[in-house]
Amino acid sequence: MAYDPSQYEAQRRGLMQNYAATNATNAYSNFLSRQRGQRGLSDLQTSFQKAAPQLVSGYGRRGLNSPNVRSGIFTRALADFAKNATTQQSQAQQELDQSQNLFDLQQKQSLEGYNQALQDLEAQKAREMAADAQSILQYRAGM
Amino acid sequence: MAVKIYKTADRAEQGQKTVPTGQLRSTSGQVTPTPTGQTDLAGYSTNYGYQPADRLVTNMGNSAARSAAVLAGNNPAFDTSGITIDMGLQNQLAALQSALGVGGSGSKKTGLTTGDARMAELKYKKEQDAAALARQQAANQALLDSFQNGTYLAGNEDIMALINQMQQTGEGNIDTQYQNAIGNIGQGYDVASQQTNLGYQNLQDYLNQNPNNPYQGMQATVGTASNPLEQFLTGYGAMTPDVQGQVAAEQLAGQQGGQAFNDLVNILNKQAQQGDISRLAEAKMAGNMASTGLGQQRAGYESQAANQKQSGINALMGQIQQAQLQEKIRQQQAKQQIIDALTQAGIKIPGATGGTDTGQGGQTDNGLSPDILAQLAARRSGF
Repeated sequence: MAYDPSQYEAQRRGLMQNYAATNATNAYSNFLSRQRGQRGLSDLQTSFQKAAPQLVSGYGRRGLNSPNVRSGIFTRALADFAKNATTQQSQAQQELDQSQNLFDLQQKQSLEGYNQALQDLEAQKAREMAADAQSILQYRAGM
Repeated sequence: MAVKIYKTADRAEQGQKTVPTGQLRSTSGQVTPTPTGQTDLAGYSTNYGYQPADRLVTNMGNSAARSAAVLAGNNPAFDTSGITIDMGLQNQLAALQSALGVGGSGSKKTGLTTGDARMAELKYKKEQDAAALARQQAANQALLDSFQNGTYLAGNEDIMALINQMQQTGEGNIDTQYQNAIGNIGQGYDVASQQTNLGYQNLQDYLNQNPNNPYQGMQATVGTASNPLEQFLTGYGAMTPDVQGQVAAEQLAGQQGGQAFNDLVNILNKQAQQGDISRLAEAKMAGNMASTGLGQQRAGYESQAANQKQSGINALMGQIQQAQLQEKIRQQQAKQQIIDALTQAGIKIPGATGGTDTGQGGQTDNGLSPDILAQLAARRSGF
């Protein structure tokens, strides 16, 4: 079969279209995931910030916290509250980061597949050109 | 001087006279016996097929037998039944009879004796034999001359030259065909090699310019762990070391997760790089194999062309040698035919094999043996 570059251009367009569609979908999914993660992280921060004064006032009503009283129970409870907030916020942030990393990885893998397909296409072109060249020599030799 | 002889079947349509059996009658009515198995003066056959009933001499075409019969006094009667002679022949016979003094006109008697008739016959035969002998000798001399001066080989040089020219032309055509084939193979190889190199060079350029390593520089995103209530805790004096430890632990957990991701990316990155190197090497090997294959293919085609050339030359040389051999055979056959003809005529060819002298007892060209001729001569001298 004679070498026909247009066929490879058609295949290249198909590969590019497939990669672009996949990458776009992945990017949009990444956006949505990041948005949801950031919202959750923000809500978490807000909830802890709102809960902290209530915690302080609760210990104050029980006389465990006042300008002149600083009980160990209050201090420990406030530290536990802070540790809990730190843990939940950090985990939320890590989940958000990992989600972003996963989307990035998927995008890179999609790009790798796209590049592999293009390289296969170029190799196929070279092989077909070599085969056609052999046919040319065969025809010219009258065989 | 045309003498026509018609067969009996032709008599009616020719409207000629019919001579009775055993006679040849001239216009004057003179009967003259005419031998058979001979040729007349005009070279026509005189085998009239006469069949005498009482003294039949068979095989009258054999001059030896006829001569023997004459010598034995067994003068055959000639059966001329069924023979039609036109007036030209009759006139000729009449002239002959007149010259011999044995003829006459009508039923007039001329006093011709049997001995005179025999003498006339012998004279006639002698002249005939002499004429035939002269013709044969002339022909033999022509053959001998042709043999000695080589004119029988006329045209041989032209034929051999044509054969040589055919050989040269054939060799030239074969060589031209071979050169064309080699040229086409060379041009085809050049184009094919160029195309092959172009294809694989383009592939290598593409691979070099487009390395498939999407993980290059990829790093995991790791957020910084922090205490969102740090200021709040500090205000209340609750920023204890365990809270700080918790923050550090979360930071460490995040970094460990990021590191794991980076390790994964590094593995993928190295794999992609190895794949790229492997693919580039594959392209180079394929290009090398394709170029080598083209070279081998070219050598194979050139070898085939050379073999075809050699086969063509062999076939041509076979044909040339066959033609030369046939021409040689033809020459030898022509030579041998001349030798055989001259030998048959009793002529010895100087320096030629197969030539013989006239053998004793052999027959001469007129069909009469020398012995018979000698006896005939003796009889003539006796009259």
